[in-house]
Amino acid sequence: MKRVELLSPAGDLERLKIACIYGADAIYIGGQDYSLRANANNFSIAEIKEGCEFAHKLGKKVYLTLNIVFHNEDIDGVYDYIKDVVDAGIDAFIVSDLFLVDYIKNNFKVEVHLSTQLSISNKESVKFLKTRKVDRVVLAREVGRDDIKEIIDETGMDIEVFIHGAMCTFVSGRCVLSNYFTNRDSNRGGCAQICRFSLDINDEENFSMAVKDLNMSKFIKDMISIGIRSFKIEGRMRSPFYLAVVLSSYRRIIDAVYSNTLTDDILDKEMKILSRVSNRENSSHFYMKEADLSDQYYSGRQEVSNQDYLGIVLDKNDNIYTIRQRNYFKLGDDVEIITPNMDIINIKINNLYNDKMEPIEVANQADSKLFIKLDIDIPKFSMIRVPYL
Amino acid sequence: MKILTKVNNQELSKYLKFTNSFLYGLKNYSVDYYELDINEIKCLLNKYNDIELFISINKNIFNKDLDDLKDKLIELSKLNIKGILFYDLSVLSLVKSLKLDIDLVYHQTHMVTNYNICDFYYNLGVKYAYLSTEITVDEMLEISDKTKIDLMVYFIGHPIISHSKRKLVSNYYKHLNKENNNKLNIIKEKNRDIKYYIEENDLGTNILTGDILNGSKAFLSLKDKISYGILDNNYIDDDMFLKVLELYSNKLNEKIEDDKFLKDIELLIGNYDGFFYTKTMYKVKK
Repeated sequence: MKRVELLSPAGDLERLKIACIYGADAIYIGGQDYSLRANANNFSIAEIKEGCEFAHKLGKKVYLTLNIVFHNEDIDGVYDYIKDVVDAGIDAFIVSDLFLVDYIKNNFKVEVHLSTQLSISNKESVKFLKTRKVDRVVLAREVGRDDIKEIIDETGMDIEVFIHGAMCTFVSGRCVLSNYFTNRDSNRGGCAQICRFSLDINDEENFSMAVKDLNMSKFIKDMISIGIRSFKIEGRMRSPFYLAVVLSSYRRIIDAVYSNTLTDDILDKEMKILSRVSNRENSSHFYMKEADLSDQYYSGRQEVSNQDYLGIVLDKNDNIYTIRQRNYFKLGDDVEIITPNMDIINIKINNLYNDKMEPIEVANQADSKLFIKLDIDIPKFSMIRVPYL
Repeated sequence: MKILTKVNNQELSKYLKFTNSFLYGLKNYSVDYYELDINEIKCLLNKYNDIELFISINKNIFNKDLDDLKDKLIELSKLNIKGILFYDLSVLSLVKSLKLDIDLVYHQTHMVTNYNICDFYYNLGVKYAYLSTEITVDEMLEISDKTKIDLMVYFIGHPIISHSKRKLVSNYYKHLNKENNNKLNIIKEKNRDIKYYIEENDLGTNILTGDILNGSKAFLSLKDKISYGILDNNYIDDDMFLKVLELYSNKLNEKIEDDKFLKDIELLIGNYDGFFYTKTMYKVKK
């Protein structure tokens, strides 16, 4: 039986590399056109090629989102673009407009995954998509556990579901609030997240339609058992730190399931980490029940800026590590280091040097280069954060 | 072009002077439609000779719905229905696999936005496509030129702009510990006096525009290119709606000049023309 795939977003090349080394099995990215995050940095063809080469060397796959709802004006360039992306080495396209399924399957030997934008929610639709040679379906977020199982059992289709991150309040593809409120086209990557606005309703103020984030960590074992093929993390605009923390947590949970070593203690620890990095309340939404009041988020857009990410290891020379600083820390602070090997190491900051190797007491200039001497061996791209555990 | 009237009642006599084509939902299967059960559909067809009835099955279908949906489709195919509008691919799949003799209308609300997707469905035997209300007249004209599928366009009414499976209004009032029994609620963005309608039912929550869409100028450009123009009376005063319907009927019969037609409609329902002449944008940074 195939192991479940951990699928990470990446908004640019740096994030793609971080995702690869922090436990993702595959990464989905957007090109500079045709993807539903039009305002992420996104990838040029040259970057797609570099990203694919990097990922493939590590045995990972890269998928490209081509999941805008096309208008006439978008059609002309798309065929050349698809060829360029295939030549760059992409493993699959994620599409929502069905005319593209036929085109890609008839002309190229790459997989086609059907985007959640089409909100596929039943086995009959999945059977139909199988006849169109779709390789994988990303199910609607509204589909519950038993329906997912039945769809897998009765169709044999590769099924992908979201396991972590922000949720749409409305059915994907069935919301154009952004078009009407802001003229930004939600189905072409311009969504302004109106569902998170505070509105007036009747005589009440502060009506919000926002929902809690998705966090499926406690259901991972069950989700593997019912045969889901791919676990997708939301957020192509999320930071490298967020990706590293979330991916490594899910990596540890998934690996523990397969090695039969997952305990309540391990799960509790990972759930704490995931809650901390997300910085919003979370829920499992439709997986075990119909979503209800407990899944709504009524405190508005009040999440405070997360300053947990202190720095990243860029290089190592003997026991001197080059760090790119992110947030304030100082001598004497207890910190955690997370590594691409999935380790979490607790240390105290005993020394700090600026870029001229002069001793300093505080790191307070974001993005500056610092040096730290450590007696432990940690790999490049390890990250320093405030203690979570 | 014919007028297809999406109505919220079963008393059709008053509309029949102006149109004989009507659009309803099917009980338990329709988002933002007045729903009829199979018996009510039969009654309407018996009561009114020569009407064309389109039925919209546009909710998201789940596994538990499929057996009943199959039965309903078989029953509908035995009635003299003009066509079934579908959102979920299961409807298309079942009609094809059961070889039901009934015309289909591709109706994925906000996603019917280009000629290739229309042709995709046409090649699968779908007869009509109901275009999205978020594309421009020029885009509609181009679709009409480049696809063989017959087109439907929504010209008058409060178009739906979002649908959730969640009970967003009742959840909010529960959170406040307050009662709210309104069928229709109004939401407004802060500091802007633009209202939207929000309604809740067993299938979840719908948001509609608060302004009445007036697509009459677009209608003049499109009427010779499409099969059906949709006029929707939901949340519109019926007397006013009948006047609008009469004006459209007169225009189709060339009984009224364009200028007077446009002016009279605007006096009745205002001049909100949605996206017929406004392109959406989606990249806010280069």
